Amino acid sequence: MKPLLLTLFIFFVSLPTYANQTEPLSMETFRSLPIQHEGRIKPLESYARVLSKKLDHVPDGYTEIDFLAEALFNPAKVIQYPLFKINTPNVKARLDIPLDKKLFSLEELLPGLISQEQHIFSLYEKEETTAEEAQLIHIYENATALHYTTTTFSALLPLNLSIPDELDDTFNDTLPENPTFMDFKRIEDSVLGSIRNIDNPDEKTLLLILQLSSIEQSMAKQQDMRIIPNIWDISAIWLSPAQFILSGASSPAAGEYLNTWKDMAVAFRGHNHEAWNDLTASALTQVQNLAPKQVDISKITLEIQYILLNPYFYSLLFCGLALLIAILHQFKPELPLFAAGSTILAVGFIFHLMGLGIRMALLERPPVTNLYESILFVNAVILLTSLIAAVLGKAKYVFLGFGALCGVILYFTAQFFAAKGDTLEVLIAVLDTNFWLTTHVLIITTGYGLCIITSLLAHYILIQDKFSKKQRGRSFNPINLLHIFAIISLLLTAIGTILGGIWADQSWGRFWGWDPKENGALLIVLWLVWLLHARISGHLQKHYYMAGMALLSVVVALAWFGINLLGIGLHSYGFTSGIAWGLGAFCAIEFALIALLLLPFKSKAISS
Amino acid sequence: MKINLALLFITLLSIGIFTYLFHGTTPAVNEVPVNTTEKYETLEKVDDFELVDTSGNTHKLSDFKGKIIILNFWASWCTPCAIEFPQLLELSQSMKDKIVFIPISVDTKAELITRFLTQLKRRTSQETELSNVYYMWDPEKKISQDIFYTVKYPETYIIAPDFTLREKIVGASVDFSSDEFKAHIMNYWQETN
Repeated sequence: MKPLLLTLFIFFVSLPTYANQTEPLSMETFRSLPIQHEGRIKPLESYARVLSKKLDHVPDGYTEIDFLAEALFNPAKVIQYPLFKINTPNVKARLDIPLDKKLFSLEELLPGLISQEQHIFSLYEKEETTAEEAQLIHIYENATALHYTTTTFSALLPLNLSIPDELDDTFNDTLPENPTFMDFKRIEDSVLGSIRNIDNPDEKTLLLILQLSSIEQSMAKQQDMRIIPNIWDISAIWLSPAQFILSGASSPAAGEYLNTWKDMAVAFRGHNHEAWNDLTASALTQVQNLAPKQVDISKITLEIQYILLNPYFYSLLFCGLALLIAILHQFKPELPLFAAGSTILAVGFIFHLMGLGIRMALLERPPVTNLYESILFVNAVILLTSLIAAVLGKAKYVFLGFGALCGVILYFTAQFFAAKGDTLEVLIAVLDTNFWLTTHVLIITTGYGLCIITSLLAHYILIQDKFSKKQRGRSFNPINLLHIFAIISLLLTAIGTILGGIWADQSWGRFWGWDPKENGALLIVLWLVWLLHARISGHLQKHYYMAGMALLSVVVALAWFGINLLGIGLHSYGFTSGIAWGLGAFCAIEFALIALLLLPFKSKAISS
Repeated sequence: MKINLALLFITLLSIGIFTYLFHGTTPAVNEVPVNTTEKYETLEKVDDFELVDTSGNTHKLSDFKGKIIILNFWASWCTPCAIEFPQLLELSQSMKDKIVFIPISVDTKAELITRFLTQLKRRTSQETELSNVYYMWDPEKKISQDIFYTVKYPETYIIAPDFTLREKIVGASVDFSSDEFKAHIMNYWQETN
């Protein structure tokens, strides 16, 4: 992330006086107000979630949207909350903050961050950073994000600046009791004019002018809260209140919309329910009128429902329940639990599908454009395939278990990638063709899903062969099943890889460039081709074949996640740091498990 | 064996179809969609408001409806305003029957406006007293700041005869007296008449 200048932080807005606070203000309409963030029009609820992910601690009693409202309209209070966790003593020493505390407020951090800004900038130039340096950058970026949110309305909210007596006398009628930046702006010419006529201007007056100038400079850098559509150019990005005022993109109707925000701030600080409800409703109507083509209220409502419902969590619950049933079956095979288990898994799948469907409706593209989405899609493929295989095939509980297990594991894997910010990301240009996303990416990720099922089936056979005593009495032939899954996986990954080459030819002008992602996809194909041929030709014994198929999970994981660790190649949309340990641990566990399952067979094979 | 043959056939067929479909097409590098829609989503109707001229007379903006209104926020101390002012006057003079030019000064004293216009006339020999030019004064910035959120000068709004806001020009970035601008502004006239 490119560093952002913090500059000065003098926008301390005077503390509010609350009326009756017994009943919280309704956030129903407020959370629906649109904002352009990371290239997409989204509801404030989404922005609030992204902001809360940047904080280590959200004060008790606050939902994400409550906290955002407080940060926007009552910043003086929010900057005092302990929100950022710092454990490293050296970082604390560098920021000159107490060593015995763990949580720090923005107010405590800002002086240190400003003094260390040049040092932090220099860290961005380094190829590798230490854990301490990484924490310093992390704190800087998160504190900056909150700082910009809290200063969004610094032009419109009352400032805690002392007005010199001589100005107070002169502009008594013009300035309100708690003047804002815009109120000061109204008298700026007069103040500057009066100073020109005074030989020795009052120090307080000069200080006030300096402070107002600093506020204006800092306002120019506030770009996070883009809440105002640029009515002068539909293709231009939206404007933050500061940009709206300073960049000359204002208009009467948009100005009226900004005034509504200002009034909302007053209603929020005064805890005025009636005014708050009226103003939030009015703001929503106004912004729809300002940008009717860009503000799609049905999409905004859908996104809020998606966030609040969290369908993947319900999918996790049902998958977990189905997994328990599959496990219970291992101990009590006589219990007729399949109908209940498959129904529960099907409900989990429906929730999962609902989530994917909403994502597709919101983003208007297939759900396979980043690692998070590809995990969701692979999960859906596995759940559906498992359900079909469980219901139609003979290995009912086996596939019930596979689907449920993957549903649980992939949910938590996806959460790791979702923890960084908004998961509904805008597509980067290189991926921006729905045709290729639908063909190449969907086919290859479907191939990943079937590879995982193939690998799980191989694990199952290895485990059964090692631990189960009645190998002959099975109601189905798992090896034939494995063979079918392996061939389908090969078909899909091979077609997907070739389609990827055609897409690369269309986009980059070459079919194949030995890019890590291309190599990864080819690796899966070659691995399957090698195993299947070796098996058919009789060069690979059954258990080595099974071990090879079980290791398909490692090959898929390396092709899927591993290439992102290399930090090179044209597929830069997927680069992710921080997964090396997880991937390494997964590969190590898989190798150890498969070796453990394989060793006795080796001795058996040798003895036989 | 039959299954394997069938799968091989399907694979080869798929490759064949895709090769056929995309054979001979020009490689499209990073197909980023280009926005070809109109520049504005909606045309903003201007709400009527009152203006006070330098003599203290009150006018309504709607008094000028039916003509192209050029609303210019300026100040006598602003250098870019001084650059574009003669251009705006020349434009007004050349399109008298179609344009109403309303310069709104945010100067703190009315005599600053008079002094500016006198100096301008002396310097450029440009006629300042035109029948379609109305000098307004907004010292408390009730129009410039409260309605238009203008805090930097000059800013010029073009309002079409149908009272819709059509254009905003920030700073002295346009030569208002050029033939191109005159032809451009005529479009608003032809569109609504």
